[in-house]
Amino acid sequence: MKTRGNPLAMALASILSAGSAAAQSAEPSNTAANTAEENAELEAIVGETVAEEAEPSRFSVYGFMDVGLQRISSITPSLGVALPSEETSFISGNNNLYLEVRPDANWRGLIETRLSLLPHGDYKFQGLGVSERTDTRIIDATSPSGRNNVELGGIVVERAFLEWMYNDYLNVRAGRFFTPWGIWNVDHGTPTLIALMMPSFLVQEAIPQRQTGVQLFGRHNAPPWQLTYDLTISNGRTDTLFDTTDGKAIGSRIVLRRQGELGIAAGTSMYHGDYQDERKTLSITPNQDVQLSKETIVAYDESSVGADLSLDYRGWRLRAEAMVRKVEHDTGKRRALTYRPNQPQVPDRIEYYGYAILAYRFMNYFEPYTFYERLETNKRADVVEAGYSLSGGVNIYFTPAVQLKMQYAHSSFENFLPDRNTTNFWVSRLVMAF
Amino acid sequence: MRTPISIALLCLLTAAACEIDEPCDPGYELKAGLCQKVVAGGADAAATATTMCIDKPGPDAGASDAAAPAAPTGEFGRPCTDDTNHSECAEPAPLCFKQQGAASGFCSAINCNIYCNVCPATWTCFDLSLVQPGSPHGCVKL
Repeated sequence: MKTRGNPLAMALASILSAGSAAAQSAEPSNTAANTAEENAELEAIVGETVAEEAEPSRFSVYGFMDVGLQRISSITPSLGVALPSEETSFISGNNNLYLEVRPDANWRGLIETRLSLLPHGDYKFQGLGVSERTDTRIIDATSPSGRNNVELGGIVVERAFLEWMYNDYLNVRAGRFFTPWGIWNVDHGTPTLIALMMPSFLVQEAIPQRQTGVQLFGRHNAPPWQLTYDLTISNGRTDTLFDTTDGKAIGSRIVLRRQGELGIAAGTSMYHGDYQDERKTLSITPNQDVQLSKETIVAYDESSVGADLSLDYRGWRLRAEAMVRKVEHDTGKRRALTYRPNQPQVPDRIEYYGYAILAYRFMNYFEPYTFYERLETNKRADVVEAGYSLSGGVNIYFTPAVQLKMQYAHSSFENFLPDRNTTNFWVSRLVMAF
Repeated sequence: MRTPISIALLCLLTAAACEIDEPCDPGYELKAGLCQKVVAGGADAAATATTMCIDKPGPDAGASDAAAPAAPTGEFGRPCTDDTNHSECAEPAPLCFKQQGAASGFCSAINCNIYCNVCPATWTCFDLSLVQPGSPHGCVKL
């Protein structure tokens, strides 16, 4: 395995993906667009200058991990039951490993995995009735004792793509990638984000967090200004590993950025695609023949547009995003709430989401922040549909690679339950990049 | 939430997209964030349909010489655990509804599809056979 000169820098830089709106101060270079943006991101986060050229290296491994302590409590009893735990609990969170190969200066392959203890302990409600809990414990038949238990975990493939870097203006990425949308979805790693809790539009996937397809991206540099673009075509939102329709999802993102003491990045993102869920049935015909049939049970088109703004001035950081999503179903192809009388259906709707974070870093170690979020989905079918969340937190940077992140949030929202719900979150994570 | 400036600006960019003509399929209407089935004749007819029920006979029905019934002491939604003798529940919610496997349940009433005004205003008359085949309709807070 060969690594570059600054493995920490490279690790953090790669956690940060191309197209982020947070990059502020690095001078645009003539290297491939993604590498320069990653370096700029890195500098913004860890306060280091990384002068990295696109020197090829064979194979690199890096990543981040976090552990935490949290307590989530709901004032609404029935919602509290739906939470994984209302008790104070230690958490083994993200264990993300990046495997990167650069066979030459213009080609790169990246696989980001998350080693997880999930799905053990996951509760699932299948309509009314007793929930089911996933139990992955099995007897380790290969152990000398022959009877001790092990918990099987899981591997989350966060992204896996091949990349061809032609020049600043044209780069091609193919595979499974993060949707280039706004600030948060691209800067997804715990070390790079200001707050711990994700905005609802990502938690609820108002846009698909990941897509499988092709992404074009590039940049134009005119110091101190810079213009970047992303274009995507993909399978879009799908419940399988394939596209269930021939309609492909398209997306775009454009960011205008000013670099310097006053850093500004203003971006806009767009996504349009269709979704279809289908059911396959094996049955016997009246003539006693076996037949397979396929039925589309849910089908809709969705269009989303968003805008985001990043401002950096000395120790201050402001991040804000807003988005609108429109969902229109085909007639008779709607999800029904089977646990409700007369099985009401999910309506066509326009959903609105927005958040803003203001942070100030001082003495190089401390970064308190406040975070406000609102949403209105114009439906009442899922866990969080309308309301707000107000939170505050502080990040403590022990070293450029290690930080403690803490956040308290008070959320008030409406959902499928009859009463308005109030939930308080106290979450913390000790994070290390490596 | 519908009118923050940022959202309004986004809608200006996509003015035509910020409208929904018919949020539900034919035969459904939008109520409380969901597409609910429309009963023929509209809302009034729907109300009428739900009142196609009979008055619930009182505990002294057919016994004119019985003592006056005691005042109701029960309460819808009161927590309970005894779903055999229903000892913790009383009229107007005399039965303990407890889902299979659950440690506790709540006091409610059944046959709300037969008798009028069994359920409180904020509760729904629900077909419990969807949960447990053979069960009657019962009042559930949904």
